[in-house]
Amino acid sequence: MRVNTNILYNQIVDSIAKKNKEIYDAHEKITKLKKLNRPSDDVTSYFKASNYKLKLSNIEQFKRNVNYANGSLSFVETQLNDLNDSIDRVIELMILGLNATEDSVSRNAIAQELRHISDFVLGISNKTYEGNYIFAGFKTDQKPFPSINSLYLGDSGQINVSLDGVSFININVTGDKLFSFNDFASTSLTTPDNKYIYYNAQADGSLKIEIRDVDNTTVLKTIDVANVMDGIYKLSEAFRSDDLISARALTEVVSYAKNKIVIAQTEVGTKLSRLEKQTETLDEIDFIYKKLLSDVQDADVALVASQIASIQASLEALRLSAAKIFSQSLLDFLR
Amino acid sequence: MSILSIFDIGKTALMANQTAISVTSHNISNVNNPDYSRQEVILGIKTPIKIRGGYLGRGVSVDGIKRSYDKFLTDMLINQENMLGRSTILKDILSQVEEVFNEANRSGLTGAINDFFNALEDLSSNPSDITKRTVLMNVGNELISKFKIMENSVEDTTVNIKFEMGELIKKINSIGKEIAGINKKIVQLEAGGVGQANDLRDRRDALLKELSGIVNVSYYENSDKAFVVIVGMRNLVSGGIYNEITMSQTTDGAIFKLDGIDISEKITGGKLGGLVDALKLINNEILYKFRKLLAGFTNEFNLIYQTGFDLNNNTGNNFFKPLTNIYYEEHSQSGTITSISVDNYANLKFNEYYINIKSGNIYEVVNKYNNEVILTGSYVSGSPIVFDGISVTISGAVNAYDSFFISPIKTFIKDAGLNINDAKAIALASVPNAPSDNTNLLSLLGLKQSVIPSLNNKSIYDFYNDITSEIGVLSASANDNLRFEQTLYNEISNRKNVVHGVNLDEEAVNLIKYQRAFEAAAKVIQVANELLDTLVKIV
Repeated sequence: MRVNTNILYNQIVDSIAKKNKEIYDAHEKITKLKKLNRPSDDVTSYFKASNYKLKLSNIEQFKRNVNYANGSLSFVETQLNDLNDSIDRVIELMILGLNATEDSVSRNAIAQELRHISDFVLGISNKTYEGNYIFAGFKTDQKPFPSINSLYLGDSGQINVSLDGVSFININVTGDKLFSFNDFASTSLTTPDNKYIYYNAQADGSLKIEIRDVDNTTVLKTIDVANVMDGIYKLSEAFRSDDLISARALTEVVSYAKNKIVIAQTEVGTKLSRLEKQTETLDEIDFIYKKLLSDVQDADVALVASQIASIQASLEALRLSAAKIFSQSLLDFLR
Repeated sequence: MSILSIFDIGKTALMANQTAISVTSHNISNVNNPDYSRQEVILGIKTPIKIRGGYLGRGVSVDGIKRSYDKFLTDMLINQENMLGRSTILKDILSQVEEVFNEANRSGLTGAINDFFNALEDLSSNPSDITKRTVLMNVGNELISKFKIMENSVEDTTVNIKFEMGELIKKINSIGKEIAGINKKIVQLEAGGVGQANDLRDRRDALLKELSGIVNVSYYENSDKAFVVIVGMRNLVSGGIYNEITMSQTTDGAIFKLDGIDISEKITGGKLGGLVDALKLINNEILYKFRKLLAGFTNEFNLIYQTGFDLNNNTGNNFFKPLTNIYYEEHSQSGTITSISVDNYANLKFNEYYINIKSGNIYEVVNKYNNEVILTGSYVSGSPIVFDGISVTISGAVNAYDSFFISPIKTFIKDAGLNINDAKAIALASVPNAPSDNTNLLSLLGLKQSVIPSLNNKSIYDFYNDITSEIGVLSASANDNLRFEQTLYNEISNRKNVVHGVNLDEEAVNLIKYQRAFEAAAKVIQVANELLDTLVKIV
């Protein structure tokens, strides 16, 4: 091969250009701390990385969802606890009031306290969280129980929030489940003095109570209970007027309410512990994907730095040999 | 046979060596000219004269100055310049486009899509929250504007491509003109058959190489030693005559004509070929899919959204502006599109179509991208043609080969926007009077993962990833190609240099060689002079 001036020159220029490009690429990795700077660097890894980023963004969102669900359910739990305490007190008072030894003065006092409790429970039924009535189903813009004897104005809407894109958690308890009598099994019972009490749940969620005489035909009294608060109120009225048979009839309403509250408490408690587990799971997945993402896209600084050093060394050698080659010319020897 | 003849012999040597030194100097001065071919002097023996006892030499003659030239390597290099030109352009443009879609170091479109779904997700826990509803509208607007910015950047590239095409055409024409001029001079200079016009031939090769870098050419030397240069099977240059290429822009590309004949389809190489390919890729692969992405997604979103109820208990509205403006082009003498509209939003597939008229008044609706025939029928003026959710009415007489281009996506991104401007009017409930009902919202959230029919049955993320990965693969392979072509080019260039190139050491040796010979020839003349002097003194 007849090597000539231009071949030598071109070869050196090309080699220097190549080394410079290598240094540039390595330097880009160092400055951005990433080995993946555009799709064409490595298409497969780029898509792995963008997939991991998407997963991480989703996890962030699900964490926010879990947080909100947690806040909202904890609030419901607090309300249910207050409700439970109130109903327990109602039961205590009820037992006290039904005791034959009590006189009308003390029954009056019991009636007074029951009256207050019914107002308090009404307040709970209309509680809001972030401006929404929590026991109103989807109709969170209006009070589910505007007054003590109103029927349930909400609906049975279940607000679901996604925990991981696949499973959902329901973050509300609807008022009809807690305060209406839709699930009240129609029944009848006999009092110690052989009278009859009939319970009939109505389609509108209210409860019709009929007290019949010993002949089981003559209706002595009818009590329409619109909701649990109304039941407590009517119980208070019964004690105020020493109407023990009505008070007795209303005990079923109170135990129905107690039962419903306990069920709701259990449900909410289960959900809260599920949310806690979900938070842990999301944290774990979050860590895994961050690790995976870092593996695909982050530059190993030590590695790149040593690469730069080695390129630098070969570039230096190249410059040295270039200087040697160009300093040698026959023309130098012709004086 | 006289002493004077010694002067003559010395003179031939002086002249020959002087010429050789000139050629050596010419070589040295062109050492860095890549298009130059090393020249050397061909020396011959002057015809001897017969004297008693034999023949007597009469000195040296310069028989010619020869180029060190290898036609095969020169042709290879000219051809490789063509490959290199195409690869360089493709790499440049594709890496530009790749940057638009590059999300390695910033959030990009995927981020905007995420933000949109996350805002929806945030609303799921409290659908009536006006602040969160307003956020949803904001991120919806941001998503659209991201599409607009990205489309704009890609379209800017296409504008630059068309501008550069125009510049290259000018360059081709000026090179054609110059080659024709050189052809004329070479024919004149070489007419006598004395030798080759070396430097002009080098210049012509250099021009051919430059031309080949711009466009795929073929060429041959005709009997007059002039080059015929052919582009797209038409003569650009034939001897001293040249033709000019003209370019006219179309919506999607450009038409090139040489000698009045359309040669667009035949331009496949060089920078111009690279630009043509890049423009096709951008229009047919990237922009088409990118527009389809937004159109397909927003349409699917709207279809679900319409069933929902807003806080004012209204239903049946759209969240994103629905498709109303359908782009079309008419290629017909008297047939015109008198009405074009969406027939059924649920049937829209967001492809681009040609309605082609065949002989016998038959029309054919063809998908532009896979040439699939979607619908055929008999053409009736004024009667609507309905396909893929679009209704087109053409009126007037049509002829075979008439064609109508229909695109529901061409202006979609430019027309895009939100259809609502009141946060309360976002319909997230499935029933009226239920502000916390998020059932419709959850259906909308399903779109994050569910496949969308008009996006080739892929989810929005997968479809967008397809676009980006396509660009990534194209760009990576353009990079690899360029590296390959560049290496090959250097290799051929070196091989050509082996034959054509100047070596300074070699020339230095020659310089001394000819200098010494020149000195010796001068000495011969000096000796002849002294001989003559001696004789004169005797007299």
